[in-house]
Amino acid sequence: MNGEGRSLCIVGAGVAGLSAAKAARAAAPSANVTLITQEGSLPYWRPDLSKRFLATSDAFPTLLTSVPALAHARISLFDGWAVEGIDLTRGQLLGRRGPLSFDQLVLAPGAVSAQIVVPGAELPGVRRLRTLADARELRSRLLVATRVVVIGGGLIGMEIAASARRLGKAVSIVERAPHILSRCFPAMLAAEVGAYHAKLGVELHLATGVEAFLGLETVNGVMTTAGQFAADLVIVATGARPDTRLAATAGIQCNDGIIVDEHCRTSADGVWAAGDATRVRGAGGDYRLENWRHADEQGQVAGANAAGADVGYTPVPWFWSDQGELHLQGCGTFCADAEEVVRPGPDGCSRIVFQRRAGMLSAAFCLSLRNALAKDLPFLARLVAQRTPVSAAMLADPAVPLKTIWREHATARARAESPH
Amino acid sequence: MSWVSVCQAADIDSEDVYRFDHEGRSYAIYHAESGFFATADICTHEHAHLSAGLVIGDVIECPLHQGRFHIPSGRALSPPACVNLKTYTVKVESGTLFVDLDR
Repeated sequence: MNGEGRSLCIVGAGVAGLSAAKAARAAAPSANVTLITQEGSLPYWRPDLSKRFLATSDAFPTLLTSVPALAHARISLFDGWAVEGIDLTRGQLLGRRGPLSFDQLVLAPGAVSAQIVVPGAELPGVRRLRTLADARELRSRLLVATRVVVIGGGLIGMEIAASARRLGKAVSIVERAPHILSRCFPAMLAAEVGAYHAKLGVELHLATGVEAFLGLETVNGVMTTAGQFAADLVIVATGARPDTRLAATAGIQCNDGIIVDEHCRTSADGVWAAGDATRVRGAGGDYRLENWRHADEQGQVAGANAAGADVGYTPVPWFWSDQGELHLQGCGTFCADAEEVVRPGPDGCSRIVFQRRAGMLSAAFCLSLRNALAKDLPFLARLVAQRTPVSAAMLADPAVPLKTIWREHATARARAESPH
Repeated sequence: MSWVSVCQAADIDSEDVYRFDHEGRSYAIYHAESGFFATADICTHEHAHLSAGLVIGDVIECPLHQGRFHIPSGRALSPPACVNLKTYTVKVESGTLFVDLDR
């Protein structure tokens, strides 16, 4: 596609959809680029919803773009527009406002909150957090709540707990696993995060399962395997599932995610996908990633390729989390039983844990109290991306800046790759 | 014009950034690919010191959320950075770096 007056539609205006639209515009200057979202808002900074947005009473969402910026990029935004089906034969999106024709389609519908199947799950006062509308509703309930129970001790659950504590609420976390953050963070760092929350006054109930939400008109408690907890607000943060409804109904191959290759191609010609909704199958393996940077970068690839480019993509997983004064980062693929090297920080709390496989750096995780480790942070993902062969002694020595290790390695590699 | 002396220009390595605190405000002083520059030190996205970040050519990357800015113009280049950074004029005289904080 050279883009001459052709129509490129993007369904979903999260960061993946927005990045796809911008990349499509850059690759095909004369195509018609349309970004469609069922939400009634400009694309916004979703990671903030569980953090500052919840904890600040007058917060506005941070927007990722503006009406003039979209106009300047000639991207049409159809907001409040629910796509109800895809007619692949005719190349049309179906919805109540009539069909919309496309030549190329990018699907970026994101994820939906995982459901928890116990009695009382539909009670008012049992909330989830995914969209800006969810966050607004949750915040108005949070402001008047007194006892909050968060179900799930993953990143989002811990962020919500920190925000609720900041508003002075009594907060309990109920987590099924024996420790928090068990899917994404080394146990040693997770324990430190748990201790920080406990010090703030959050009650942690680990290895505890939810049996029912109690109450008649609205929720007033949670029955768990460790007994009953009072609550006037329950927030279910037990993860997300890829939103494959549109794609699956249209006959596009899905399996816990819309299946794409490393070029973001789906099983249907002319249909691409990016972001939390996808499962990547390619030379790099078979994986799903739910993080912001991945959605941004994969969206760019999908948009550019839909507009006629031929770009491949192998991500280095990277996430961050802000919880009160703690800043967490992780990059690379977490492995619960990898060899670990610890680099202590300047205070008792901050530190970095490196994971190594076969002598190579495979992942790095950081816990930083405020900006304590800011100087080292830019190099975590860079060192992991390079699969740096670096000695455990150097990684463990806080007197050797990561910048030095990175620069030396980059120089050595440039020299090795140079033809002279 | 309100020129304030910052440091010896030679004290900032190339592709590096230096934090300069003056009258309760923080500034980031850069030795970027195109020369010396100054901007506000606090990222326009969330509270983080850009002077702790990484300079690559003429770009500064925030250490917390990897937002990027073009150092000479302060332009926000990649999300989550969306709001441009305030820039300040600098000059080097007899090896000393000065920044104009008057605007």
